[in-house]
Amino acid sequence: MSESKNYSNFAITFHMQTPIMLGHPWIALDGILAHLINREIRGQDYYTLPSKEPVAKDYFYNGPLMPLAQTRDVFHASVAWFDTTEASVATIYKRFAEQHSHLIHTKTKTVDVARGQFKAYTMRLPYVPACTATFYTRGNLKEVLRLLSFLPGLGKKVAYGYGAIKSVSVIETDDDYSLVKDGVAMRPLPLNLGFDSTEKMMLAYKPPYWDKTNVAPCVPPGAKVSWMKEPAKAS
Amino acid sequence: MWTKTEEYHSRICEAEEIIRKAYEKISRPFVSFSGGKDSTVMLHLVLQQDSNVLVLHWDYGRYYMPREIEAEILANAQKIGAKNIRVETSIQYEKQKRKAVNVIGRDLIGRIMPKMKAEGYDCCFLGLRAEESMKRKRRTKTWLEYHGEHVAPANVFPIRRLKWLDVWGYIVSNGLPYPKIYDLYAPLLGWDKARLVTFFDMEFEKLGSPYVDGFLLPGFRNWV
Repeated sequence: MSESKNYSNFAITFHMQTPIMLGHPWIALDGILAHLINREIRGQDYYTLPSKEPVAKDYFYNGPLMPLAQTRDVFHASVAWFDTTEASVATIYKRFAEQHSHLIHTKTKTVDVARGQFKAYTMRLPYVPACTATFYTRGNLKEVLRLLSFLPGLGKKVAYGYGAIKSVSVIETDDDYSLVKDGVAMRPLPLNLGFDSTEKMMLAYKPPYWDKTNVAPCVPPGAKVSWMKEPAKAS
Repeated sequence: MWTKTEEYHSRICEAEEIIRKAYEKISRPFVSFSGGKDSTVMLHLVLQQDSNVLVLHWDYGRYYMPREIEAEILANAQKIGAKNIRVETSIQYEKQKRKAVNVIGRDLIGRIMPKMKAEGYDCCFLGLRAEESMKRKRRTKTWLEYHGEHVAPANVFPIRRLKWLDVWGYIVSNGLPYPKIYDLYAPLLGWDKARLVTFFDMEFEKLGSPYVDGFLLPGFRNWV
């Protein structure tokens, strides 16, 4: 995508109805958008992707339809910045629903809830009781908002009621704060892009974030940034 | 303060009494030390009665335990007063990385414990507490657990009746060092539920622990 595609700098704020459940301290906007584009391209096929094994990288969309500015392979989209630093833990119960047992076909008369596909789980998941989650980005505002209109919620366990969105507001910003704001990293910044810091971590820096091949030494979000060399220009 | 209460004192006295009784029955014990809060208390209690006791520590390897925490655990054992520390581990942790499961069963219980028995160690002090789970409550009904004469050393559970408040009370009142990872996990999980175990371990996936680890230790997630 080029600058002619109406790119602007803006901050999107999600006003939350319920706490956001996380398995990681950060939610990345480019990851959310890539997921929404992927779902849009695949349509109903999205729901029949293989689930027994992690989905192959080819199944995940990470291409030119992303409405975001890019510096090499890093999208100009920050992680979510919450209005609180508080966090807590909730317990999620995953149980086999007996009332739907006629819908499944098993070799035996019993359903094994100790192992396998219907294994019962009691899981602890951290949540952030944030009222707002703000993403800073540089991209096509109209397209970003169109895609986000299909987003059912933020974070994990949206079907359980977590991460429900009350409203979304947008503020145009003077500068591009998607990578660095006030000398602080706003998203994982790979060191090979010229960033440096006293804090470094092995982090995924582009979608899909679960893919280990996208992991590289990065400046983590929230860390003070310095530059080893002049940063590359956005395209 | 909790450590001034009668309940606390009676439970600590019982733990000391169990250690005393164990030393009357056995000749060559060792202490199993994970580095967590329970084994910290137990190690201190045993060292009060035998300052030369062998301390056996199991290293889960660099893929499950960050090396700085491992170094802190060993430094803590020395600060508590252990002079004789032995660290054992399994090659499986290097071979299988984060896919290594049931290594404790195969290597610690199946290989190291019989070796300890063959070396003449006849008793192992274990920091299990009845409060932790129903399984542990059943297991620690008696303070001594025999495994047969040639299989493995007998297990002694000195702190079996201690509550989590007793454990933290003992640590604070005696100024014992504990891994700083507790200060990270306890505000999220609670001081009663925070435990020192392996991180990003598949065996704890059904409890949701990898999500908590991912939230608190994002830097260790992709360390391998």
